[in-house]
Amino acid sequence: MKKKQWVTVLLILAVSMMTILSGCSSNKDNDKKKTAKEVNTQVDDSGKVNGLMYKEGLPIVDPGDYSFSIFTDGDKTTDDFYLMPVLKEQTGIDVDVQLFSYEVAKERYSLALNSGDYADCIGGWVLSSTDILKFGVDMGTFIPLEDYFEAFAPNISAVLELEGVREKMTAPDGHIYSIPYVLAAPEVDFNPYINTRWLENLGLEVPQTTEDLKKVLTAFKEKDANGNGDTDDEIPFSFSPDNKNIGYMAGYFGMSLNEYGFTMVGDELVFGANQEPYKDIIMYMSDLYKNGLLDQEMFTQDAAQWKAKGGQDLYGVCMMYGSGDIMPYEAGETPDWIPLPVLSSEKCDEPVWFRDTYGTTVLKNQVVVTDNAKNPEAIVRWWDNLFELENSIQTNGGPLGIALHKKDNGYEINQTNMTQEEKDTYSWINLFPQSLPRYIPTDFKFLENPPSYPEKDKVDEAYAPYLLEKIIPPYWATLEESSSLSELQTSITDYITEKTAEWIAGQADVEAEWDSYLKQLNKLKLDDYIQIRQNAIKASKN
Amino acid sequence: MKKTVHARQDKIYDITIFIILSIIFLIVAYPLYFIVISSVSNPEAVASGQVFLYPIGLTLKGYGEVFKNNEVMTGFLNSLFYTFCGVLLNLTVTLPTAFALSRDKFNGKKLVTIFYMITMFVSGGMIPTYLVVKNLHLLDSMFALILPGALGVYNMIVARTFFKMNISEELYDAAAIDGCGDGKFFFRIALPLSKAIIAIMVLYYGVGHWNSYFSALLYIKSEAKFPLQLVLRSILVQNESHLKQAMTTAAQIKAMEEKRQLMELMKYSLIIISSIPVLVMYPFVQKHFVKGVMIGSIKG
Repeated sequence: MKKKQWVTVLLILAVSMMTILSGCSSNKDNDKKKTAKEVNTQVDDSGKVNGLMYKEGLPIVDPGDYSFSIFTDGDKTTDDFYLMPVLKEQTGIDVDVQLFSYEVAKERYSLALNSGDYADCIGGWVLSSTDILKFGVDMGTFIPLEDYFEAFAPNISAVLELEGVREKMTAPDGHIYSIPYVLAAPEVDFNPYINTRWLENLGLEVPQTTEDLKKVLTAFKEKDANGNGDTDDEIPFSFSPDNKNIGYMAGYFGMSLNEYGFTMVGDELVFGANQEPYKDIIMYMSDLYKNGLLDQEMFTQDAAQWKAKGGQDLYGVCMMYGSGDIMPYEAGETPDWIPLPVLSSEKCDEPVWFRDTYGTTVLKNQVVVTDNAKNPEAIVRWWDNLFELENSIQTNGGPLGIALHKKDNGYEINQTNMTQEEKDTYSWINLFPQSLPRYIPTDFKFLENPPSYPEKDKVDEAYAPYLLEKIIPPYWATLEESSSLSELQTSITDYITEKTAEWIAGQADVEAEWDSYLKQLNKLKLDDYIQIRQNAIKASKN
Repeated sequence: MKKTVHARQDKIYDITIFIILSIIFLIVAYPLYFIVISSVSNPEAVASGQVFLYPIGLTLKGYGEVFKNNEVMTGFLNSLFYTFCGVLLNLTVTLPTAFALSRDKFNGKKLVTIFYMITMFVSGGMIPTYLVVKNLHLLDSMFALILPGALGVYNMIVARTFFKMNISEELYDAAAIDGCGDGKFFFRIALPLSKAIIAIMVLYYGVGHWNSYFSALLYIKSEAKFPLQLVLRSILVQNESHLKQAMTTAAQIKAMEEKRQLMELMKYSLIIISSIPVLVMYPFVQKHFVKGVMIGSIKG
């Protein structure tokens, strides 16, 4: 009995000790207040700002005086990125890149932010605009950068002055929390391509209407279009599995929709997945599916299967980003694919196509600076130096003097004198963390460099007459709204995707179910969803 | 006459059972078989669904790539190290605890057991655990995967029950009369009689260590310390969709495409290679899952 009591006493003691000890740990992490710090621009006696950084020119700091860490997602196959030591040489700043593959980075990212153990810079695809609202605007973990840009970063400031960039980068509280990433982007996001070799083999014309397309697809199916002696292996029309973009094709019937079912009519944001054109495209597609003209695995295959079939020359028409997705080709070759024209239909003489960009895209959440950073001004200057043209083009074109050569009239990519080993070492993913910003002017072209998707360049031209005038304007939903927005968006988009697949694959009839579909959309609070989206755009304008 | 009827019924019964069991066997075995034949087939053929009953375009390239790949090899060795050291520590901690808690004469046994049980139902959660590991300065060290979780409460209870059922007080009394103390009894008598439970513990803990990747994902920063599962994850889970936006030259597309093809090629061989140790371990452990280890341990 006595022994038992003794053990109990010991246990109680142990537990109370633990409580006391844990109470002693510091709480200083918890009362971080958000204060927009005055940026010190004064040069002191040593000729530096804050005794560390030179205000202009290179190096930014004396070598060995400063280093910072960047957490980002990406891949590399070598020990270090090619460009990092080069930049260290220029700036005197040592950068510790903490690189994880995207899936791993996502987990580590939220853990790091929630435990207070995060890097000086956080960047990559893991960042979202909701994070900027939460950790920037709300909590002050990410710091406002616009004053630093103004004081120390001429290159970044110049990028901000490009049309539309500053307004897109500015968070609802008027601060800019991230480094802008502006890059050239096609106006058309995804579109169907048609295989010209197949057309020639069968002596067919490029289709111009939805009727024509059906005829062409039927011919592809019945005859030996790819010329391998087998008349049954052709798949007339297939789709990239990640996003089938059927909404875009509703433009054949008068209203082209993005993956969430939205489009622009004039200056107005309109929801179209509950309107007639969307129903028309589904009816058209389910008719094609019934006749075996669509890829019967379109709703079940993954990217690898889709690519494998494409690589065996089984597709006549395919919805994709570019034909390099399914049939990679060497630089300089011309693929057999051309963009399928925007088709008119019996219901619509003036078809339209969704405009994704005006030729450039602004990614507003690629890199932030956190409150762990000791001298944000030096970090901002490091990024500003990266934005120098010769640094930025090396992130894409490869090392200057090895893969990239300066000529009188520009820069040329030429890998002819490189060994295979060099090509591996300096392959694109090993140049620089490719998820991070840099700045290559959108009109910059490498000399004599065949573009990666030659037929992609022709799309913007071919689709120009049909493209919507406006893109869907950028917006920041407020923090309260963004959680309900993402909930509504998920449930509504999932429902539309699911029904669309059922209708096209012939498991249900769109005519018979259309009314109950509209009712269900209303039950999922479609009106609130549209309202929030429109309000967010209006608020971002002011 | 009656006999044959019986025999016929027996036959029907037997055949039915045989058919049902065969179907279940096929359902379980086919996916494994598919992975094996896919690992020696041409990846294009696998992706386009031609591989079904036998390998197509026989090739050992996938295995070649895996063995050439430094990350995979380091990961493999790391995982072996984590598993070996981890299991050793697990056993060192679990068995004595379980044995002590199974003895009737251990006062305060109830309290201590409750203390352990609480941790089973109320765990700190991911972030508090992370902070503990961080403040112990275990981040990015190999011990972060070995020390936390050295004792699995569930496993400890299983072992305790085993000791309770199989190592009787009478046995202890008999040993004590011969002049055997607690420690000696545990090492010389209890453990040799508990091969079965040791084997089970090795299997449970071993498979757990071998397959765990989440704690490595949280605590390990340097690639040189990554366990195999984490290496697999970064090779097999790809995220291409985002990169499209940033690609502007043919060379980039090709680089990504080559990476993807390599992944397709290595996929199935990686799965096989990563499950070999567990498959190898099982038969060695399985022979101990036999009852009757206690026969003849008590003198009549």
